[in-house]
Amino acid sequence: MIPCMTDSLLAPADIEALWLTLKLASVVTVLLLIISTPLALWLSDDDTSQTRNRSKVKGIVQAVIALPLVLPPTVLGFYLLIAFSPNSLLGQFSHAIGLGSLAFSFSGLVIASMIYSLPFVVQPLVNAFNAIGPRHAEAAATLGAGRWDTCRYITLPLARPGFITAGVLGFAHTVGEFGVVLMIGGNIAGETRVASVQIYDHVEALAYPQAHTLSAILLLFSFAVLLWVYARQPGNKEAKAWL
Amino acid sequence: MAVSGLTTRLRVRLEPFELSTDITLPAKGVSVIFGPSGSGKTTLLRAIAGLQPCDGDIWFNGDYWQGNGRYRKTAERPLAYVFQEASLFPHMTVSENLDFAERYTLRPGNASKRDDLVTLLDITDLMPRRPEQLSGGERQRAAIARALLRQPDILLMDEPLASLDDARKHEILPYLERLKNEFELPIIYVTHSAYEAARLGDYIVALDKGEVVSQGELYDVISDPKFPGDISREAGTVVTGTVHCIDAKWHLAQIRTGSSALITVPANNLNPGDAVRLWIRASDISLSHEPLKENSISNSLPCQIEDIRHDPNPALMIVKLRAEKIELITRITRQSASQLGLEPQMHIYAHIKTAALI
Repeated sequence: MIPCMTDSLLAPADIEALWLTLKLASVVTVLLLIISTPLALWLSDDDTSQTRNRSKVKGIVQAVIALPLVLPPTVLGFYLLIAFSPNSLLGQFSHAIGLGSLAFSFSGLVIASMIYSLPFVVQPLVNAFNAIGPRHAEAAATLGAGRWDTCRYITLPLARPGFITAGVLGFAHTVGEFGVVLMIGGNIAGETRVASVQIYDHVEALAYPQAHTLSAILLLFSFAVLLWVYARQPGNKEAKAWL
Repeated sequence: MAVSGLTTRLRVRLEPFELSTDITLPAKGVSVIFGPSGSGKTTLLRAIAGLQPCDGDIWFNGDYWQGNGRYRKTAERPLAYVFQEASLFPHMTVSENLDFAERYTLRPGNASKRDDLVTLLDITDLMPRRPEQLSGGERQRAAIARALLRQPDILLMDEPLASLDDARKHEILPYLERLKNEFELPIIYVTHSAYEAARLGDYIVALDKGEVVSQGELYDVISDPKFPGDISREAGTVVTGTVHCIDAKWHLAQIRTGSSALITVPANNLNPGDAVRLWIRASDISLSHEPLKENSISNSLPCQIEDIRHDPNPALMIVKLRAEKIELITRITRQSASQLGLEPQMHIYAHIKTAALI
C-alpha cells in the first residue's frame, strides 16, 4: 500500500499529502478571513442602541461558532456526512452548481474545515475589534466618515494584528485536522489524503520512518507557528487566550 | 424657536439620575457646559453629537438633527468633536490624520485652510510623526487641527484639557483663545474647571445631577448663587493691548489698552509694539476714589461703575467697570464697597494688582 522508499525519506505520496494540506489550509484560511470579518464586526459591535433580542441572537451565534471547540470531530464529521449526501439540500445544491458530490471531495473538505476552524478565526478578530473600542470609530464619525469608510480606513487597519493571529491560527488548525477529514474525506490520494491522514496510514502499515519524517515536519511547523504567534507581540492577550 | 443657534430638549437615562435639559445656546462664541464630574455634561455633548442615543429634539441653525420625524447620524451633522483624550488615529501620522479629515470637509473649496491651521496650532514639525511619538499637549493640538479641518458649523469640545497637566493646559489655552477669536465658529466647550469656564466662556450653562441649574452670560452666572462650584473666584477679564515701552531696569513692560492708562506687567522678553493679551482676575482689582500716588507707574485706571451685584459669597460684591473701551470685572468685600459708597455710574479708580500675560 505504501510505496517502498529506500533512498528518500519523503515519498512522492508524502509530498503530495503535504502539498494537499497546504492547499487546503490556504484555501480555508482565505475563505474564513473573508467570512469571519463581517461576522466578527457584527459580534463585536456593542452599539448601546441594540435591542435585547439582537444580543440574544448574538449569544446563539457565538455558541454555534464555538461548538467545534468542544465537539468530538467525529460528531461534526458524522453530521456533515449526512448533510453532504446527494439527497440532502446541500448535496442537491452542490450538484446544481456543478461541484458534484461533496462527500469524499476536496470541496467537501474545504467546507468541513471551514466549520471546524471557524472559532479560531472569528474569536481573534472579535477580540481585536473589541480591543480597538468605540473611540476611533466615533472620532471618524464626528469627522464625517460613514460606516463603510470608517470600517475600511480605521477599524480594519487597526485590527491588523488580529487578522494575522486569526489567519495563522486558522491555517495551523486546519493543518492539524484529522478526525473530520477521516469522516467525510476518506482517504483519496491527491484529493482528500492530507498529511495527518498520511501519517495514520504510515503507522497502520508500520512504516515508522516515514511516519517519523512527516510527524516531525508537522511538529516543527506547529511549534514554529505558535512560537511566532506568542513572540510577535509581548502580552498579546488574544493570541494567548486562544492557545 | 430661535433662528440660529443650537436648541436641545433632551432626556437621557443616566444612572443614578436622568439627564433632562432644555437649552438654547447662541450661534456664536464659546458656550461652556459646566458641571462637576458625573453631572451629565459629557453625556449631553455626546447626545448633541449623536454619539449617545437620547429622547427629544436637537435643532441647529434651522435644521432638525433629531426630532420632527428626522434623525441625522453623527457623520451627517455638520459638527466636529474634540475628545478628552486626543483620539488621533494611531495607525496614521499627524499629516495622514489631517488628510482623513480633509476628505470629509464640509467646505471643499477652501483649500488654504490647512496651512493656516497648521500654523495657528503650531504643528508643522509634528506632521510626519505618529500619535505615540507626541506629548499629550501636541496630540491635543493635532486633534483640534483635525477637527477644524472638517470646517464644521459648530465645534464640540469635551474637556480637551482635562487629561493634561497644568503646564500643558497653559500651553493649549492660548490656542483655544486664538481659535475663539479668529474663527467665526460657535464652540460648545464642556469642562469641570471654573477657570477654563471663566476664561473661555461667553455663555455658560451649569449642570448638576443632570439638570440645568444656572445659565446665562459669564457676568450673569458668576453672581448666581445657584451656580455650582466657585466660578466667581475664577472670574476675570481678558484685555488686549500692545506693548508701549519697556523698562529695562525693572524688567517691566507698559501695555497700552483700550484705556488711556497703561497697565504694567513683567516684561518677559517683550518688545515695543508686540500685541499682547492680559488676563485680569476679578480678585486682583481693588477700587479707590483717588489714583495711587506713591506708585509712579501705577496700574490705576479711571473707570465708571456699570453694575453692582452680590457675590454668592455673602462677604463679597461683584462690580462691573468700564474704562473707556475696556470692561473689567472686580470682586471686592462688601465692607469696602460700603465704605466707598459705590453706586452705578460713579467714577472710580481701579487698581490692577497683577495682570497675567496669556
